[in-house]
Amino acid sequence: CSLLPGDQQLQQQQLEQLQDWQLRGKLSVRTNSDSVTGYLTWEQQHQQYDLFITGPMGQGSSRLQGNPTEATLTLPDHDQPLTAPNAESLMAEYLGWYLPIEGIRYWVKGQPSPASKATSQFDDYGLLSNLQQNGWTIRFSRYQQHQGIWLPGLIKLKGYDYTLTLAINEWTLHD
Amino acid sequence: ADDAALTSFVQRLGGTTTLEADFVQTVQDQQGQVLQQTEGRLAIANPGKLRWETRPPYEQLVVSDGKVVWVYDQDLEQVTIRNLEMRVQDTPALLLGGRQADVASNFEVSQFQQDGLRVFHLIPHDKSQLFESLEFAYQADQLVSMTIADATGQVTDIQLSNVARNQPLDGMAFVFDVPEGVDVIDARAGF
Repeated sequence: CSLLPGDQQLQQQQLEQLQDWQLRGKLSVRTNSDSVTGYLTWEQQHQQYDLFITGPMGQGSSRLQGNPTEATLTLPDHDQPLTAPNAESLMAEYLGWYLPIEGIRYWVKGQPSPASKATSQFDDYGLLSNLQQNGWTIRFSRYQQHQGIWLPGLIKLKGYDYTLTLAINEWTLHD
Repeated sequence: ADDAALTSFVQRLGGTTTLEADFVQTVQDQQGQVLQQTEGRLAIANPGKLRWETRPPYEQLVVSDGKVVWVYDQDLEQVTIRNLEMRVQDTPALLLGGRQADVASNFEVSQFQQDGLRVFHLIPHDKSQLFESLEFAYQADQLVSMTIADATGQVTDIQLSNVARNQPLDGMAFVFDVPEGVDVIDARAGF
């Protein structure tokens, strides 16, 4: 593995193989009427995801688990988990905002989603700096190397009247 | 309701004009599995003044002057400003910060002894609150821990150490000036 990034192809190949990881950090969601900030723990194993979001001082923790065909949302004010085929509509209905769950699983690594057309810009080190995909405009920064792979530390997404900011403090790579 | 518990709890709150402590906060799901642990330093002063500093990797600074709350997330390059309200994340600080009068009107208070600690158990009258109960554990007059339980059985436990009570505090600790180049989200209702 390269110490200094440089090769865009090699970087994207490494990200492609990275299917089993956990990240810890902080998420901020801004809609034109509201804003939410919380701590995020996100476990991804291929298509399976488990996101745990808690507010400051442990208030109002929510958990989203699932895969592309089924999502389950556990909320502090519902003693029963809520399930639906689509995570985004489930979140929009009960949280008032949503994560573009299918795409963000790639974007969070600094990788365009293979599922649709994308316009990408890379920096001099071959790392993804800007991306337009699925109606989102995404900026990547604070890249750091984790177990030999360069991964972003700050991601800002803008689209559909939402601004999402994800600051990643810890990466754990299982592959 | 247990008036003796209410009186005893309100008396303890009244006896504290300032509080400073290190904290370790642990969030557990109903099976007791630790979901998250953060630590930091808190300072509370009457009325409603708060400084809640969480250390990396979950760095966050919450400051309140008793009217407005600033939440500064350095890693997100963002400050959120909102009004101080009896909301779950402000409640422990509000109660400790001298709003004793709010206890009777907002909570049903009971008390019990556990491992040599006097524990006050508070249940909110308003069921729409995000939490089901709050507990404050005291060793004599010294607050030792706070616990927040929500409807899914999740428990947030905040253990205090190095507690300094009723010591003079620098007023500047409860004022926040927004750093350069940071996104400001002004969520003050009706601002």
